Amino acid sequence: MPAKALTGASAQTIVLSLLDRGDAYGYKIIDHVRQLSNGEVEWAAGSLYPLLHRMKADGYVESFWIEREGERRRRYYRITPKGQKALEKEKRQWLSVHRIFVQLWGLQPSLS
Amino acid sequence: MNAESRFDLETAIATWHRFMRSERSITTEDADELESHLRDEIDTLRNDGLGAEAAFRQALHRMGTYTLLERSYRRVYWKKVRSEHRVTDEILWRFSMLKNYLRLAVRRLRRQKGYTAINVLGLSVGLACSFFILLWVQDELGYDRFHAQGDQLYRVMHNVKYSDGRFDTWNEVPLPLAEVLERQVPEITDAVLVTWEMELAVARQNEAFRERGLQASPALFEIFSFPFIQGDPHTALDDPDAVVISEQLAQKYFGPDWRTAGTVLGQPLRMDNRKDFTVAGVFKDVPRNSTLQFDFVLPIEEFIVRNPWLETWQSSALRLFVRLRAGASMAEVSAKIAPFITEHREEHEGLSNTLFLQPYGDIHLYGDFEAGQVAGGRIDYVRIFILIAFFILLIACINFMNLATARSMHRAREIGVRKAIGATRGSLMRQFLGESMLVALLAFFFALLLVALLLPAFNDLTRKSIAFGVLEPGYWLIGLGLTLLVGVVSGSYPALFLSSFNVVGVLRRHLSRGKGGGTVRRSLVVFQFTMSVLLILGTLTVYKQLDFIRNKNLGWDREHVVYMRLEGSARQQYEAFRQTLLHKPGIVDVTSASQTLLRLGNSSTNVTWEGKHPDDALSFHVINANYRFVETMRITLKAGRTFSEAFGDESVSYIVNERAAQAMGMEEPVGHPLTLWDQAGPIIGLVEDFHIRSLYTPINPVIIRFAPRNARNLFVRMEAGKTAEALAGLEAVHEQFNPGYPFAYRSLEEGYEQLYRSETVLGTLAKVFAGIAVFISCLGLFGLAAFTAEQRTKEIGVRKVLGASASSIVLLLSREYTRLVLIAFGVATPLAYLAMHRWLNDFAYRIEIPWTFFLIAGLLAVVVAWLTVGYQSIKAARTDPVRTLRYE
Repeated sequence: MPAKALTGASAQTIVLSLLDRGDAYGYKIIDHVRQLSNGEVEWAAGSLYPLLHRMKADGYVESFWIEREGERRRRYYRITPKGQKALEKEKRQWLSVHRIFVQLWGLQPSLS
Repeated sequence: MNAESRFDLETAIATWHRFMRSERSITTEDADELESHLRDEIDTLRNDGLGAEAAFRQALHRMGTYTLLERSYRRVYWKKVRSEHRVTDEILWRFSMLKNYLRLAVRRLRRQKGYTAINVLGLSVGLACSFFILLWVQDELGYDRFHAQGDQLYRVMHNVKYSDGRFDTWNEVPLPLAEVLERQVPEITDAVLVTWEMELAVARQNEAFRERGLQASPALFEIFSFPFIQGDPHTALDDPDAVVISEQLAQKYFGPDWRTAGTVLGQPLRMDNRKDFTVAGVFKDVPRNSTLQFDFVLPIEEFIVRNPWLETWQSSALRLFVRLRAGASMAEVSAKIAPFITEHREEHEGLSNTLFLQPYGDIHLYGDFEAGQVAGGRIDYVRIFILIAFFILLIACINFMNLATARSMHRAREIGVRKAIGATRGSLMRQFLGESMLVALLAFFFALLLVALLLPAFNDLTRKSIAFGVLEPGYWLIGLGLTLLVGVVSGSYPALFLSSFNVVGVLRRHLSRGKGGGTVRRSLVVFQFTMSVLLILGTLTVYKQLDFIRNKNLGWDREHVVYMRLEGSARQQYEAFRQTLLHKPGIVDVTSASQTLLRLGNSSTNVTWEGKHPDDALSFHVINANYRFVETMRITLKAGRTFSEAFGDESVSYIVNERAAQAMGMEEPVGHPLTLWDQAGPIIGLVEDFHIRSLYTPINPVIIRFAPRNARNLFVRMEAGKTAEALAGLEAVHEQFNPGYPFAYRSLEEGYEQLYRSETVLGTLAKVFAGIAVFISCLGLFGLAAFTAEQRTKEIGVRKVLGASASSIVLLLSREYTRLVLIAFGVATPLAYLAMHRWLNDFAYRIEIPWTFFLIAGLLAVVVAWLTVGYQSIKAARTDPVRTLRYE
């Protein structure tokens, strides 16, 4: 499992990216992350929800309750335009970090 | 039974939900969200084949511990509150929580009535004590601070060094100095001469009373802030026939309508039956906390005209106050004026006169001088009392800490449970501090009540008139601040100690009961008793010294003698007056003299005798006396004779004391000539040494000079047991000779007591404070003993069943505390010895501290501790073992 600090720095970007694909509720987000990492990244609910709430206070996401047919009542999160803007910025930053590592570790000559 | 059947998932989830909601930072929505998450998790786990209970546990585990949840929710909480605009709600909620804490604390305090009573009682007595001391200190420090230009006002002081190395520091200077200072020192803007206080007969029409006043330079009202109600302060004293009176006198002599224009100003008042003075101003009554006290002021001009001998550099008889230009340096001016007396008069070789300035605001507190330097004064008492207040508060705080930590064992389990369900150390500390603050506040109000109730008694004791209502709000804030500080101090140790309990240990009861913090508790008890023993020893010493002073043989007899001003016809027809008095029953002897022997101020270096070394410049106290002085005062004659009509006109003759004879180097002085103030005459008598001032000063050489003209005080010795008749006779004769003068007298015994007024007050206060310190310490000890007895209930029961006697159990319980008190005694003894030795050292005549004092103080402390602990021990020892063993 990646170090805690790393998870912390990337968590908001991951959440924004996931929500950019479509609205989701907390359990779903954790599930997605688990699957995307082949079970290596396991977020705790106790860390995710406060993060979501902070992002909501910052205006990156909004939340609403939905009770779908045959499902229990859940609180969904949706990315806002402000959140999308923030995501664009973070994406650029992460990509440049990514490029650095790729070159440093000689994984792939170049993506372009 | 099947485990599954006992576990109900819905109940578990509902309980968990409720628990989550108990945390403020998790809202209902948040809890709902968490619950739906939990359910998703459980469903997944059950699909994997787990049972309900296992799934529940596993799901909880995955969500993270409660502490983790709570902490991370709390981290984003304020942000949420702000973005959702719930800030006001949040603040209101915090207040309601505070209320909740308080309610909890009140409930606890009520449940433990005895414990609360001991705490509140101890703290309120301690606080009340400190408040009284604060009041007294505020009053003392406030003396002479009301003058607008206070920081520019100074008193001119006068140091005299004699050829034998002795020093005198006076606040009297020669009259011409005032003018010279104003003319030659640019920094000095005004120099105001002031006489000593005098009590004169003041009469208007047929009414006459004795009033207290002084004579002063016109600028008195320029430099000091004694505001006028009528008249012009700048010019009021310019006319030598003017008099300025206080509001109180205006009312007394001119009636309640005195404020009406023309009723007072310009009206005559007859002063001293001498002449009429015109009222030129009315000033507001002089505040009680002023060093200068007066109800009337006459121009000094008039005083100088009547006493032309003042106009010389040779004698120092007037006080001098100066105002410096703003920003002028006291040290520079002091240095500049230092040689002024020497420069202006023919100085004797061996004598040195130097002048210096003392800030006016310091006069009250720094009145003692040693070797020409300020050596304290009342400020020492201010410091002592601040220290005592601090100690008493500390003793009261210690009670609180000790009882709280001792009782904490009772609460250990409560604390364990609360910590287990996630209470943080911070919240526990908040609660304990809340409890101690509440006790402190409660004590604060009781203390205020006590202060209000006891203030008259306190004023009586300290001879002050501090009012409860007129205190500045700042003072109350200090009091409240002090209280809260006490709350924090007394609550801090229990808060730190209790909140540090280890959950598992406490719940498994690994903590040995009653032992926690035992060493600290014992040290604190030792500290309390050290303070108490110190105060007991201090009280004993002060009392013994006062007793010594009261019974000291002064070399003259101060009992049954009254004195009064000799004035009017009584003075002019002194012999007839005297003879009439002597015929009255109960009057034994009558004489007159310039001063009382209580505070003989006059001294002179202008003394010559046979064989005097030219470099000798020694100070002799001089008393101007009439016939029968030595007899009336009952001074013991050693050789020669006293002044007597039988030897014809005693124009110039002297009687000296042994110390004077010694100073002059004469073994048998009688018959030798002596010259004082350029008047030569024989020494006719030698008397034994006698005290002429307080016992702080050693016996000095004294010359008794026959000078009836200068003897302005009448002394009447009465027969013991017949004083009432004697006084009636005195009044009748006074009325016959001096009908215009109100009758007033003082007794020497009273005057003597007055010399030691601050010592007497110190003694009484020390006694009260020692009592209170002991009381509070015992209160704490009582609580601790009760606690120990309770803790050891079972042990005592077992011991009794095994055949221990009640007395052996009492001994068992008392032993530990006795040991603590004995340690305290050991610590206090050297401290007390050093402190009391320092205090006694100021007296020229003093007691030795007897070793029995230490015995008494030690025994007292031990006995009081035994009595305190004994009640609890006996109670514990007499309890039926069957009941105690069933305890719990």
